[in-house]
Amino acid sequence: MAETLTTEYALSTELGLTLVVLFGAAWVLFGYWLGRKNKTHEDFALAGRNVGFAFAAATAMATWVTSNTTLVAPQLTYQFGIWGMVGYSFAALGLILFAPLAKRIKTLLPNGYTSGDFIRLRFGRMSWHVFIVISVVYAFGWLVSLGMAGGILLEALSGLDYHLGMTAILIICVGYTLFGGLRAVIATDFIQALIIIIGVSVIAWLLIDNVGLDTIHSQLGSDHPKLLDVLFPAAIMFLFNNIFFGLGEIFHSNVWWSRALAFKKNVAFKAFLVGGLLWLPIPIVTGFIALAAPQLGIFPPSPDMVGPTVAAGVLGQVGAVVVFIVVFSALASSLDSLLAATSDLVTRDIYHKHLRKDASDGHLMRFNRYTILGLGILTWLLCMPRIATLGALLNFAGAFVASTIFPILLGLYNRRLPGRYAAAAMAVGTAVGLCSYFVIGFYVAALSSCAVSGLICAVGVWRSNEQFDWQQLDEKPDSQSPQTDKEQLQ
Amino acid sequence: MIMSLSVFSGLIWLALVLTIATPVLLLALLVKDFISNQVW
Repeated sequence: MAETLTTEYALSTELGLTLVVLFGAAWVLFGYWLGRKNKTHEDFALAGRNVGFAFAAATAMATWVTSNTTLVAPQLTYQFGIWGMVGYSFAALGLILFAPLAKRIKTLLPNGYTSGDFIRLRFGRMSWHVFIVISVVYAFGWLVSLGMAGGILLEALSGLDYHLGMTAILIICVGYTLFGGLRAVIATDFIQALIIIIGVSVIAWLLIDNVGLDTIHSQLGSDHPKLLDVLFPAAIMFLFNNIFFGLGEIFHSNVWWSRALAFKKNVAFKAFLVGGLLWLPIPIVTGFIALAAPQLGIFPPSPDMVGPTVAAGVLGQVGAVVVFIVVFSALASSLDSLLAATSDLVTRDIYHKHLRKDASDGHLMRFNRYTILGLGILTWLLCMPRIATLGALLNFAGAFVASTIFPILLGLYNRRLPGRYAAAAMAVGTAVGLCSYFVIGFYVAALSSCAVSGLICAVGVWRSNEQFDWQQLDEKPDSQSPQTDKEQLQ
Repeated sequence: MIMSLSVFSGLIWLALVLTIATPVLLLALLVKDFISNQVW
Protein backbone atom coordinates (compact mmCIF):
# COMPACT_ATOMS: atom_id res chain seq x y z
CA MET A 1 0.00 0.00 0.00
CA ALA A 2 2.86 2.35 0.84
CA GLU A 3 4.39 1.77 -2.56
CA THR A 4 1.11 2.56 -4.27
CA LEU A 5 0.60 5.75 -2.30
CA THR A 6 4.04 7.12 -2.89
CA THR A 7 4.43 6.30 -6.57
CA GLU A 8 0.89 6.81 -7.94
CA TYR A 9 -0.24 10.37 -7.43
CA ALA A 10 -3.66 11.31 -6.11
CA LEU A 11 -4.08 14.05 -8.71
CA SER A 12 -3.18 14.03 -12.36
CA THR A 13 -0.51 16.52 -13.32
CA GLU A 14 -3.06 18.31 -15.55
CA LEU A 15 -5.52 18.76 -12.67
CA GLY A 16 -2.73 20.03 -10.39
CA LEU A 17 -1.67 22.58 -12.97
CA THR A 18 -5.27 23.63 -13.64
CA LEU A 19 -5.82 24.31 -9.92
CA VAL A 20 -2.62 26.36 -9.75
CA VAL A 21 -3.60 28.44 -12.78
CA LEU A 22 -7.19 29.02 -11.58
CA PHE A 23 -6.21 30.00 -8.04
CA GLY A 24 -3.26 32.00 -9.27
CA ALA A 25 -5.37 34.02 -11.69
CA ALA A 26 -8.04 34.63 -9.03
CA TRP A 27 -5.55 35.91 -6.44
CA VAL A 28 -3.65 38.11 -8.88
CA LEU A 29 -6.86 39.70 -10.24
CA PHE A 30 -8.16 40.25 -6.71
CA GLY A 31 -4.83 41.85 -5.75
CA TYR A 32 -4.98 44.10 -8.77
CA TRP A 33 -8.55 45.16 -7.94
CA LEU A 34 -7.62 45.98 -4.32
CA GLY A 35 -4.44 47.75 -5.37
CA ARG A 36 -6.41 50.48 -7.19
CA LYS A 37 -7.06 52.11 -3.81
CA ASN A 38 -3.36 52.51 -3.03
CA LYS A 39 -2.50 56.17 -3.60
CA THR A 40 0.46 56.61 -1.24
CA HIS A 41 3.35 54.52 0.02
CA GLU A 42 1.57 54.34 3.39
CA ASP A 43 -1.47 52.84 1.61
CA PHE A 44 0.72 50.30 -0.13
CA ALA A 45 2.91 49.33 2.83
CA LEU A 46 0.43 49.67 5.72
CA ALA A 47 -3.04 49.56 4.11
CA GLY A 48 -3.61 53.18 5.18
CA ARG A 49 -3.15 52.18 8.89
CA ASN A 50 -6.89 51.53 9.01
CA VAL A 51 -7.53 47.77 9.04
CA GLY A 52 -10.70 46.72 10.91
CA PHE A 53 -11.10 43.93 13.49
CA ALA A 54 -12.37 41.10 11.23
CA PHE A 55 -9.60 41.44 8.66
CA ALA A 56 -7.05 42.05 11.42
CA ALA A 57 -7.91 38.88 13.37
CA ALA A 58 -8.11 36.79 10.20
CA THR A 59 -4.77 38.01 8.86
CA ALA A 60 -3.06 37.38 12.22
CA MET A 61 -4.37 33.82 12.22
CA ALA A 62 -3.95 33.05 8.51
CA THR A 63 -0.40 34.38 8.30
CA TRP A 64 0.58 32.13 11.22
CA VAL A 65 -1.02 29.16 9.44
CA THR A 66 1.78 28.42 7.05
CA SER A 67 3.49 25.50 5.43
CA ASN A 68 4.74 24.94 8.98
CA THR A 69 1.23 24.26 10.23
CA THR A 70 0.02 22.25 7.28
CA LEU A 71 3.20 20.34 6.39
CA VAL A 72 5.62 20.60 9.34
CA ALA A 73 3.05 20.00 12.13
CA PRO A 74 2.16 16.59 10.58
CA GLN A 75 5.89 15.94 10.06
CA LEU A 76 6.67 16.66 13.73
CA THR A 77 3.67 14.64 14.89
CA TYR A 78 4.94 11.78 12.75
CA GLN A 79 8.32 12.08 14.51
CA PHE A 80 7.35 13.15 18.05
CA GLY A 81 3.79 11.89 18.39
CA ILE A 82 1.23 13.80 20.43
CA TRP A 83 3.86 16.20 21.79
CA GLY A 84 4.68 17.13 18.21
CA MET A 85 1.19 18.47 17.60
CA VAL A 86 0.53 19.84 21.08
CA GLY A 87 3.98 21.44 21.13
CA TYR A 88 3.33 22.98 17.77
CA SER A 89 0.02 24.44 18.92
CA PHE A 90 1.88 26.24 21.74
CA ALA A 91 3.31 28.50 19.05
CA ALA A 92 -0.05 30.30 19.40
CA LEU A 93 1.46 31.86 22.51
CA GLY A 94 3.55 34.00 20.19
CA LEU A 95 0.44 35.66 18.76
CA ILE A 96 -1.31 35.88 22.11
CA LEU A 97 1.67 37.45 23.91
CA PHE A 98 2.26 39.81 21.01
CA ALA A 99 -1.20 41.33 21.61
CA PRO A 100 -0.09 43.74 24.40
CA LEU A 101 3.11 44.48 22.50
CA ALA A 102 1.09 45.41 19.40
CA LYS A 103 -0.89 47.92 21.43
CA ARG A 104 2.33 49.36 22.84
CA ILE A 105 3.94 49.52 19.39
CA LYS A 106 0.93 51.39 17.99
CA THR A 107 1.14 53.87 20.88
CA LEU A 108 4.91 54.43 20.89
CA LEU A 109 5.41 54.49 17.12
CA PRO A 110 2.27 56.07 15.65
CA ASN A 111 4.20 56.96 12.49
CA GLY A 112 6.48 53.90 12.40
CA TYR A 113 6.71 51.58 9.40
CA THR A 114 8.84 48.64 10.44
CA SER A 115 10.41 46.72 13.33
CA GLY A 116 13.74 48.06 12.05
CA ASP A 117 12.49 51.61 12.76
CA PHE A 118 12.05 50.66 16.39
CA ILE A 119 15.48 49.04 16.77
CA ARG A 120 17.18 51.99 15.04
CA LEU A 121 15.46 54.60 17.19
CA ARG A 122 15.55 52.68 20.46
CA PHE A 123 18.98 51.01 20.36
CA GLY A 124 21.01 52.73 17.64
CA ARG A 125 23.09 51.63 14.68
CA MET A 126 25.03 48.68 16.13
CA SER A 127 21.88 46.88 17.26
CA TRP A 128 20.18 47.79 14.01
CA HIS A 129 22.93 46.05 11.99
CA VAL A 130 22.67 42.86 14.07
CA PHE A 131 18.88 43.00 13.88
CA ILE A 132 18.84 43.43 10.10
CA VAL A 133 21.11 40.39 9.67
CA ILE A 134 18.78 38.32 11.89
CA SER A 135 15.70 39.61 10.04
CA VAL A 136 17.16 38.86 6.63
CA VAL A 137 18.31 35.35 7.61
CA TYR A 138 14.90 34.61 9.09
CA ALA A 139 12.97 36.14 6.19
CA PHE A 140 14.91 34.14 3.62
CA GLY A 141 14.74 30.98 5.76
CA TRP A 142 10.97 31.33 5.85
CA LEU A 143 10.62 32.43 2.22
CA VAL A 144 12.71 29.49 1.04
CA SER A 145 10.82 27.12 3.33
CA LEU A 146 7.54 28.35 1.82
CA GLY A 147 8.77 28.20 -1.76
CA MET A 148 10.09 24.69 -1.18
CA ALA A 149 6.81 23.67 0.44
CA GLY A 150 4.95 24.76 -2.71
CA GLY A 151 7.15 22.52 -4.84
CA ILE A 152 6.91 19.63 -2.37
CA LEU A 153 3.13 19.88 -2.24
CA LEU A 154 2.63 19.77 -5.98
CA GLU A 155 5.12 16.95 -6.35
CA ALA A 156 3.54 14.90 -3.55
CA LEU A 157 0.01 15.28 -4.88
CA SER A 158 0.31 15.41 -8.64
CA GLY A 159 3.82 14.30 -9.55
CA LEU A 160 4.52 17.73 -11.01
CA ASP A 161 8.21 18.55 -11.02
CA TYR A 162 9.31 20.26 -7.77
CA HIS A 163 10.90 23.18 -9.61
CA LEU A 164 7.77 23.90 -11.63
CA GLY A 165 5.47 23.91 -8.57
CA MET A 166 7.84 26.09 -6.58
CA THR A 167 8.12 28.56 -9.48
CA ALA A 168 4.33 28.74 -9.89
CA ILE A 169 3.57 29.62 -6.26
CA LEU A 170 6.29 32.28 -6.21
CA ILE A 171 5.00 33.93 -9.39
CA ILE A 172 1.43 34.02 -8.06
CA CYS A 173 2.32 35.49 -4.65
CA VAL A 174 4.76 38.02 -6.08
CA GLY A 175 2.07 38.97 -8.62
CA TYR A 176 -0.73 39.92 -6.27
CA THR A 177 1.54 41.44 -3.59
CA LEU A 178 3.12 43.59 -6.29
CA PHE A 179 -0.26 44.90 -7.44
CA GLY A 180 -2.13 45.21 -4.17
CA GLY A 181 0.41 45.76 -1.38
CA LEU A 182 -0.61 45.03 2.23
CA ARG A 183 -4.30 45.66 1.49
CA ALA A 184 -4.31 42.75 -0.99
CA VAL A 185 -2.27 40.62 1.39
CA ILE A 186 -4.76 41.15 4.23
CA ALA A 187 -7.90 40.71 2.13
CA THR A 188 -6.62 37.49 0.54
CA ASP A 189 -5.59 36.31 4.03
CA PHE A 190 -9.23 36.52 5.12
CA ILE A 191 -10.44 34.29 2.28
CA GLN A 192 -7.45 31.98 2.64
CA ALA A 193 -8.14 31.65 6.39
CA LEU A 194 -11.68 30.44 5.66
CA ILE A 195 -10.46 28.00 3.00
CA ILE A 196 -7.72 26.62 5.27
CA ILE A 197 -9.98 26.05 8.27
CA ILE A 198 -12.86 24.52 6.35
CA GLY A 199 -10.48 22.28 4.38
CA VAL A 200 -8.53 21.09 7.42
CA SER A 201 -11.76 20.36 9.29
CA VAL A 202 -13.17 18.34 6.38
CA ILE A 203 -9.99 16.23 6.11
CA ALA A 204 -9.85 15.50 9.85
CA TRP A 205 -13.57 14.76 9.99
CA LEU A 206 -13.39 12.31 7.07
CA LEU A 207 -10.29 10.68 8.55
CA ILE A 208 -12.10 10.06 11.84
CA ASP A 209 -15.09 8.77 9.92
CA ASN A 210 -13.07 6.46 7.66
CA VAL A 211 -10.39 5.17 10.01
CA GLY A 212 -11.66 5.92 13.54
CA LEU A 213 -9.89 7.41 16.55
CA ASP A 214 -9.92 4.11 18.47
CA THR A 215 -8.25 2.25 15.58
CA ILE A 216 -5.54 4.89 15.26
CA HIS A 217 -5.00 4.89 19.04
CA SER A 218 -4.75 1.09 19.36
CA GLN A 219 -2.43 0.79 16.36
CA LEU A 220 -0.12 3.48 17.72
CA GLY A 221 -0.23 1.96 21.22
CA SER A 222 0.90 -1.45 19.98
CA ASP A 223 3.31 -0.58 17.14
CA HIS A 224 4.50 2.95 17.90
CA PRO A 225 3.93 3.59 21.65
CA LYS A 226 6.50 6.40 21.71
CA LEU A 227 4.14 8.52 19.62
CA LEU A 228 1.55 8.35 22.41
CA ASP A 229 4.08 8.71 25.22
CA VAL A 230 3.29 11.76 27.35
CA LEU A 231 6.85 11.66 28.77
CA PHE A 232 8.82 11.58 25.50
CA PRO A 233 11.92 13.63 26.60
CA ALA A 234 13.09 14.90 23.20
CA ALA A 235 9.48 15.85 22.39
CA ILE A 236 9.02 17.77 25.65
CA MET A 237 12.25 19.65 24.94
CA PHE A 238 10.86 20.36 21.49
CA LEU A 239 7.70 21.81 23.05
CA PHE A 240 9.63 24.40 25.08
CA ASN A 241 11.96 25.10 22.18
CA ASN A 242 8.96 25.72 19.95
CA ILE A 243 7.42 28.20 22.38
CA PHE A 244 10.59 30.33 22.35
CA PHE A 245 10.99 29.92 18.64
CA GLY A 246 7.42 31.13 18.07
CA LEU A 247 7.91 34.08 20.40
CA GLY A 248 11.12 35.06 18.63
CA GLU A 249 9.56 34.76 15.21
CA ILE A 250 6.63 37.00 16.05
CA PHE A 251 8.30 39.50 18.37
CA HIS A 252 11.03 40.48 15.90
CA SER A 253 9.48 39.99 12.47
CA ASN A 254 8.26 42.91 10.46
CA VAL A 255 5.43 40.67 9.24
CA TRP A 256 3.78 41.23 12.64
CA TRP A 257 5.04 44.74 13.33
CA SER A 258 3.68 45.99 10.00
CA ARG A 259 0.32 44.46 10.91
CA ALA A 260 0.33 46.06 14.37
CA LEU A 261 1.03 49.41 12.69
CA ALA A 262 -1.58 48.83 9.96
CA PHE A 263 -4.49 47.95 12.27
CA LYS A 264 -6.91 50.61 13.54
CA LYS A 265 -5.91 52.14 16.88
CA ASN A 266 -8.06 50.04 19.19
CA VAL A 267 -7.91 46.86 17.12
CA ALA A 268 -4.27 45.71 17.46
CA PHE A 269 -4.54 44.11 20.93
CA LYS A 270 -7.77 42.17 20.44
CA ALA A 271 -6.91 41.13 16.86
CA PHE A 272 -3.70 39.37 17.90
CA LEU A 273 -5.38 37.85 20.96
CA VAL A 274 -8.30 36.45 18.96
CA GLY A 275 -6.01 35.43 16.08
CA GLY A 276 -3.85 33.43 18.51
CA LEU A 277 -6.80 31.71 20.17
CA LEU A 278 -8.26 30.79 16.79
CA TRP A 279 -4.92 29.39 15.66
CA LEU A 280 -4.34 27.25 18.78
CA PRO A 281 -6.31 24.10 17.78
CA ILE A 282 -5.27 24.02 14.11
CA PRO A 283 -1.87 22.23 14.48
CA ILE A 284 -3.58 19.55 16.59
CA VAL A 285 -6.04 18.93 13.77
CA THR A 286 -3.37 18.93 11.03
CA GLY A 287 -0.90 16.97 13.17
CA PHE A 288 -3.51 14.33 13.95
CA ILE A 289 -3.70 13.51 10.25
CA ALA A 290 -0.10 12.22 10.42
CA LEU A 291 -0.91 9.83 13.29
CA ALA A 292 -3.01 7.78 10.88
CA ALA A 293 0.04 7.08 8.68
CA PRO A 294 1.29 3.91 10.42
CA GLN A 295 -2.24 2.49 10.58
CA LEU A 296 -2.60 3.03 6.84
CA GLY A 297 0.82 1.60 6.05
CA ILE A 298 1.95 4.93 4.65
CA PHE A 299 5.67 5.63 4.86
CA PRO A 300 6.30 8.78 2.84
CA PRO A 301 9.64 9.25 1.11
CA SER A 302 10.16 12.50 3.06
CA PRO A 303 8.62 13.21 6.49
CA ASP A 304 7.28 16.61 5.39
CA MET A 305 5.06 14.87 2.82
CA VAL A 306 3.24 12.82 5.44
CA GLY A 307 0.23 15.15 5.82
CA PRO A 308 -0.67 15.47 2.14
CA THR A 309 0.12 11.80 1.48
CA VAL A 310 -2.17 10.53 4.26
CA ALA A 311 -5.05 12.82 3.28
CA ALA A 312 -4.74 11.91 -0.36
CA GLY A 313 -4.34 8.21 0.46
CA VAL A 314 -7.45 8.07 2.66
CA LEU A 315 -9.72 10.44 0.86
CA GLY A 316 -8.77 9.77 -2.76
CA GLN A 317 -8.92 12.43 -5.44
CA VAL A 318 -11.42 14.68 -3.62
CA GLY A 319 -9.21 14.63 -0.51
CA ALA A 320 -6.17 15.40 -2.61
CA VAL A 321 -7.92 18.41 -4.18
CA VAL A 322 -8.92 19.66 -0.69
CA VAL A 323 -5.36 19.20 0.63
CA PHE A 324 -3.99 20.92 -2.41
CA ILE A 325 -6.24 23.97 -2.00
CA VAL A 326 -5.65 24.16 1.78
CA VAL A 327 -1.87 23.99 1.62
CA PHE A 328 -1.77 26.28 -1.39
CA SER A 329 -3.82 28.86 0.56
CA ALA A 330 -1.67 28.44 3.68
CA LEU A 331 1.50 28.95 1.69
CA ALA A 332 0.14 31.96 -0.14
CA SER A 333 -1.14 33.61 3.06
CA SER A 334 2.36 33.54 4.55
CA LEU A 335 4.43 34.05 1.43
CA ASP A 336 2.59 37.25 0.47
CA SER A 337 2.93 38.61 4.03
CA LEU A 338 6.62 37.89 4.12
CA LEU A 339 7.23 39.44 0.70
CA ALA A 340 5.34 42.59 1.73
CA ALA A 341 6.98 42.89 5.17
CA THR A 342 10.52 42.18 3.98
CA SER A 343 10.22 44.60 1.07
CA ASP A 344 8.98 47.25 3.52
CA LEU A 345 12.05 46.62 5.67
CA VAL A 346 14.39 46.98 2.68
CA THR A 347 12.56 50.05 1.34
CA ARG A 348 12.15 51.88 4.64
CA ASP A 349 15.15 50.83 6.72
CA ILE A 350 17.86 50.40 4.15
CA TYR A 351 16.83 52.51 1.16
CA HIS A 352 14.89 55.43 2.64
CA LYS A 353 16.68 55.83 5.96
CA HIS A 354 20.22 55.14 4.79
CA LEU A 355 20.54 55.62 1.04
CA ARG A 356 17.89 58.06 -0.25
CA LYS A 357 16.55 60.18 2.60
CA ASP A 358 15.01 62.64 0.12
CA ALA A 359 13.09 59.98 -1.85
CA SER A 360 9.55 61.05 -2.74
CA ASP A 361 6.48 59.05 -1.75
CA GLY A 362 5.91 57.85 -5.32
CA HIS A 363 9.57 56.87 -5.64
CA LEU A 364 9.37 54.79 -2.44
CA MET A 365 6.23 53.03 -3.65
CA ARG A 366 7.97 52.12 -6.92
CA PHE A 367 11.10 50.98 -5.07
CA ASN A 368 8.93 48.87 -2.75
CA ARG A 369 7.42 47.11 -5.77
CA TYR A 370 10.84 46.47 -7.36
CA THR A 371 11.98 45.03 -4.04
CA ILE A 372 9.06 42.58 -3.95
CA LEU A 373 10.04 41.43 -7.43
CA GLY A 374 13.71 41.16 -6.45
CA LEU A 375 12.89 39.16 -3.31
CA GLY A 376 10.77 36.80 -5.39
CA ILE A 377 13.63 36.18 -7.82
CA LEU A 378 16.17 35.68 -5.02
CA THR A 379 13.87 33.25 -3.22
CA TRP A 380 13.37 31.33 -6.47
CA LEU A 381 17.15 30.98 -6.89
CA LEU A 382 17.59 29.79 -3.29
CA CYS A 383 14.75 27.27 -3.67
CA MET A 384 16.24 25.68 -6.78
CA PRO A 385 18.41 23.20 -4.88
CA ARG A 386 16.15 21.36 -2.43
CA ILE A 387 18.54 21.78 0.46
CA ALA A 388 16.82 20.53 3.62
CA THR A 389 13.57 19.23 5.03
CA LEU A 390 11.21 22.03 6.01
CA GLY A 391 11.49 21.34 9.74
CA ALA A 392 15.29 21.44 9.72
CA LEU A 393 15.39 24.67 7.73
CA LEU A 394 12.89 26.32 10.01
CA ASN A 395 14.54 25.32 13.27
CA PHE A 396 17.89 26.61 12.04
CA ALA A 397 16.30 30.08 11.98
CA GLY A 398 15.16 29.52 15.60
CA ALA A 399 18.70 30.21 16.83
CA PHE A 400 18.53 33.66 15.24
CA VAL A 401 15.06 34.87 16.14
CA ALA A 402 14.91 33.69 19.76
CA SER A 403 17.82 36.02 20.58
CA THR A 404 15.58 39.03 19.82
CA ILE A 405 12.83 38.22 22.35
CA PHE A 406 14.32 40.02 25.38
CA PRO A 407 15.82 42.98 23.50
CA ILE A 408 12.42 43.66 21.90
CA LEU A 409 10.46 43.09 25.10
CA LEU A 410 12.73 45.18 27.31
CA GLY A 411 13.18 47.75 24.55
CA LEU A 412 9.43 48.35 24.50
CA TYR A 413 8.83 48.39 28.26
CA ASN A 414 12.12 49.19 30.01
CA ARG A 415 13.96 52.51 29.71
CA ARG A 416 17.28 51.17 31.01
CA LEU A 417 18.42 48.57 28.46
CA PRO A 418 21.29 50.21 26.50
CA GLY A 419 21.80 49.62 22.77
CA ARG A 420 25.22 47.94 23.14
CA TYR A 421 23.76 45.29 25.44
CA ALA A 422 20.84 44.71 23.08
CA ALA A 423 23.30 44.24 20.19
CA ALA A 424 25.48 41.86 22.26
CA ALA A 425 22.41 39.92 23.43
CA MET A 426 21.25 39.33 19.86
CA ALA A 427 24.72 38.51 18.47
CA VAL A 428 25.94 36.24 21.30
CA GLY A 429 22.51 34.61 21.73
CA THR A 430 22.43 33.72 18.04
CA ALA A 431 25.98 32.33 18.16
CA VAL A 432 25.21 30.12 21.17
CA GLY A 433 21.91 29.02 19.58
CA LEU A 434 23.74 27.96 16.42
CA CYS A 435 26.35 26.03 18.44
CA SER A 436 23.53 24.21 20.28
CA TYR A 437 21.84 23.46 16.96
CA PHE A 438 24.92 21.70 15.61
CA VAL A 439 26.27 20.17 18.85
CA ILE A 440 23.06 19.06 20.61
CA GLY A 441 20.15 19.23 18.18
CA PHE A 442 17.62 21.50 16.49
CA TYR A 443 15.22 21.22 19.42
CA VAL A 444 17.44 23.30 21.76
CA ALA A 445 18.61 26.03 19.36
CA ALA A 446 15.92 28.60 20.20
CA LEU A 447 15.94 27.73 23.89
CA SER A 448 19.68 28.32 24.41
CA SER A 449 19.70 31.40 22.18
CA CYS A 450 16.89 33.00 24.19
CA ALA A 451 18.46 32.08 27.56
CA VAL A 452 21.86 33.61 26.75
CA SER A 453 20.29 36.71 25.21
CA GLY A 454 18.06 37.14 28.28
CA LEU A 455 21.06 36.88 30.59
CA ILE A 456 22.99 39.58 28.71
CA CYS A 457 19.93 41.85 28.72
CA ALA A 458 19.52 41.32 32.48
CA VAL A 459 23.16 42.37 33.05
CA GLY A 460 22.57 45.39 30.79
CA VAL A 461 19.52 46.54 32.73
CA TRP A 462 21.28 45.92 36.06
CA ARG A 463 24.42 47.90 35.14
CA SER A 464 22.79 50.76 33.25
CA ASN A 465 21.60 54.15 34.51
CA GLU A 466 20.07 55.09 31.15
CA GLN A 467 16.53 56.50 31.07
CA PHE A 468 15.35 56.30 27.48
CA ASP A 469 12.86 58.97 26.41
CA TRP A 470 9.92 57.23 24.70
CA GLN A 471 9.16 60.39 22.73
CA GLN A 472 12.23 59.66 20.61
CA LEU A 473 10.37 56.74 19.03
CA ASP A 474 7.72 59.04 17.57
CA GLU A 475 9.47 59.90 14.33
CA LYS A 476 7.42 62.43 12.37
CA PRO A 477 6.34 61.49 8.84
CA ASP A 478 8.63 62.61 5.99
CA SER A 479 11.08 63.93 8.56
CA GLN A 480 14.63 64.01 7.25
CA SER A 481 15.55 63.78 10.95
CA PRO A 482 19.32 64.09 10.55
CA GLN A 483 19.60 65.16 14.14
CA THR A 484 17.56 62.28 15.48
CA ASP A 485 19.53 59.85 13.37
CA LYS A 486 22.84 61.31 14.43
CA GLU A 487 21.94 61.28 18.07
CA GLN A 488 20.35 57.86 18.10
CA LEU A 489 22.78 56.07 15.88
CA GLN A 490 25.84 56.77 18.03
CA MET B 1 3.28 6.70 30.01
CA ILE B 2 0.80 6.17 27.15
CA MET B 3 -2.01 8.65 26.63
CA SER B 4 -5.37 6.95 27.15
CA LEU B 5 -7.96 6.65 24.38
CA SER B 6 -10.42 8.96 26.14
CA VAL B 7 -7.85 11.76 26.56
CA PHE B 8 -6.63 11.25 23.00
CA SER B 9 -10.17 11.37 21.57
CA GLY B 10 -11.11 14.33 23.75
CA LEU B 11 -8.08 16.30 22.58
CA ILE B 12 -8.75 15.66 18.88
CA TRP B 13 -12.51 16.36 19.11
CA LEU B 14 -11.99 19.55 21.12
CA ALA B 15 -9.46 20.84 18.60
CA LEU B 16 -11.77 19.95 15.71
CA VAL B 17 -14.86 21.64 17.19
CA LEU B 18 -12.89 24.81 17.98
CA THR B 19 -11.46 24.83 14.48
CA ILE B 20 -14.91 24.45 12.91
CA ALA B 21 -16.24 27.39 14.98
CA THR B 22 -13.57 29.75 13.64
CA PRO B 23 -14.97 30.55 10.15
CA VAL B 24 -18.37 31.30 11.69
CA LEU B 25 -16.78 33.78 14.09
CA LEU B 26 -14.65 35.42 11.40
CA LEU B 27 -17.63 35.88 9.08
CA ALA B 28 -19.74 37.31 11.91
CA LEU B 29 -16.95 39.80 12.69
CA LEU B 30 -16.73 40.83 9.05
CA VAL B 31 -20.48 41.40 8.81
CA LYS B 32 -20.30 43.50 11.99
CA ASP B 33 -17.40 45.57 10.59
CA PHE B 34 -19.24 45.94 7.30
CA ILE B 35 -22.42 47.20 8.96
CA SER B 36 -20.52 49.73 11.06
CA ASN B 37 -18.33 50.71 8.07
CA GLN B 38 -15.15 49.63 9.88
CA VAL B 39 -13.78 47.12 7.37
CA TRP B 40 -10.83 49.35 6.33
